[in-house]
Amino acid sequence: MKIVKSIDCVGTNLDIYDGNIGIMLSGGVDSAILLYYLMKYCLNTIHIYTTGSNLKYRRNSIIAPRVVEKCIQLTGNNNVVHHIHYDESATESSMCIAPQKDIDNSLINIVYDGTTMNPPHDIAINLVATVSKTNSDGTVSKHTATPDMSRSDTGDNIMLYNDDKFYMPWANTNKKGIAKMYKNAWKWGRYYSSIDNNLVDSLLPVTRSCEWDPTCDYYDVIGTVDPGLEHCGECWWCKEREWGFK
Amino acid sequence: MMAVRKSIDCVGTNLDIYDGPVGIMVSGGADSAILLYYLMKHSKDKIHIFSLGNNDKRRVNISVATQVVEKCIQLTGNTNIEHHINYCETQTGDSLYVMPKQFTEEKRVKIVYSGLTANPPKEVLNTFKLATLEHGDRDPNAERDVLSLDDTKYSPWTNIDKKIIASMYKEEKLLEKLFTITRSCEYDPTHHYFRDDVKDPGHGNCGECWWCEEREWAFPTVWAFDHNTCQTVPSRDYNENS
Repeated sequence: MKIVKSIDCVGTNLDIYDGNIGIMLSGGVDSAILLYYLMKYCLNTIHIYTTGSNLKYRRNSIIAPRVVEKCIQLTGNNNVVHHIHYDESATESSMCIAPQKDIDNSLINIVYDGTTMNPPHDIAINLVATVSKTNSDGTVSKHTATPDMSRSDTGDNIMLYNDDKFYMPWANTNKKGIAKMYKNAWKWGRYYSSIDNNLVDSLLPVTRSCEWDPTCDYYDVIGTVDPGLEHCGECWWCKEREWGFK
Repeated sequence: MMAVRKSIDCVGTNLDIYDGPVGIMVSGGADSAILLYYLMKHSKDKIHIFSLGNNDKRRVNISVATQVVEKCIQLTGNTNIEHHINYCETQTGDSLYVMPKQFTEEKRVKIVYSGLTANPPKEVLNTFKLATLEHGDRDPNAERDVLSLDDTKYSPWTNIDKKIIASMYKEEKLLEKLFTITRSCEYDPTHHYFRDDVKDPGHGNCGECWWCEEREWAFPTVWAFDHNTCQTVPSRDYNENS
């Protein structure tokens, strides 16, 4: 596949592929900044895919269009089509179904995936605690809520998968690297000239990284209340965001 | 001929539920919102929802349409849907139908539902501050075919006006749950009338444009306009159960 240009995103390389492209947009900080860069530099139609999870009340299907709207305002590019699908739990595989179908139908050439590298392992495993709960029968159960920790934190994650049709440019960049993009995009590189591109004040507030899960006992045990469209501040992903941007 | 799976009586107006997958154009307004609700309630097949945001009006309807979709999911429990949002500079009749047309041509949907209604009677229109540009396909005195474009577009509300739409909301007890989050306003910041005299309603209703007046005419017992928030709210004397 032809790369039409490569962008230096505050130290992380981003390849812009030729033709119509897709991007999986959750509404979190990682995919939001990726969408921003693509809308700034891609001249072809960008198909945006969001999967609303019924288990989590489909909140990202409300947040993601707001991210798209903000990126239109920031870049002036409205050559985008946003497809919102729904699924019971929005797993990693179910989120790929719709973009994969459009690849198979030659509507798009490649799909961008904003997944980042985990924080260093000793930090990542301590972002949320393991808590104990005494059950009604006297037994004690332990609860936590952490993501897949199998991904390397040393920068050797693959960037292309699914027959090289899915591209993860942030696979070896953690949230601190993403935070640098938000803080410094406007002054990094000769293409950035406008103070309006300080994305900490414009794009970041629209995003939502929270993965509060009403079906997970951990949140009941620690007493987290439903955050609605805000951040719960207690889940692993809220803590990772806090670590990245502090 | 398309197969009709069942027909619904919507307060005296017939709504055919076609074999799917089907499409529907959702603007975020009251007419398309109630049509989406009925469709999600009664269709077993995949529903493709099409919304178009236009730059002239700052794409405000997109955030409204996504909330209408979310509310209809909550009300019906149906998530067998896909919402497709695209964007243009200036919305026209043609640009609205670009994506639905593409889906019908590619056989991804068999028919596309449109929530277009007829205008209010002429004597009512004469009381509105602004003239409408929509006399043609919304003439209240003309009888139109509900099917058009080689039977690929279905407009079940084409011969009824917004007062009938209001009675559907009342019948389904959706005035507070669904109607209040819809937005019919077509406030246009590029038009001198609005720019000079009308407060920017943001995501609310301006209360001054033709479409707000039509909405107020149709929903007088429930429609109240809060000038501080520019939101449509139930009026003080409104009781959904009355």
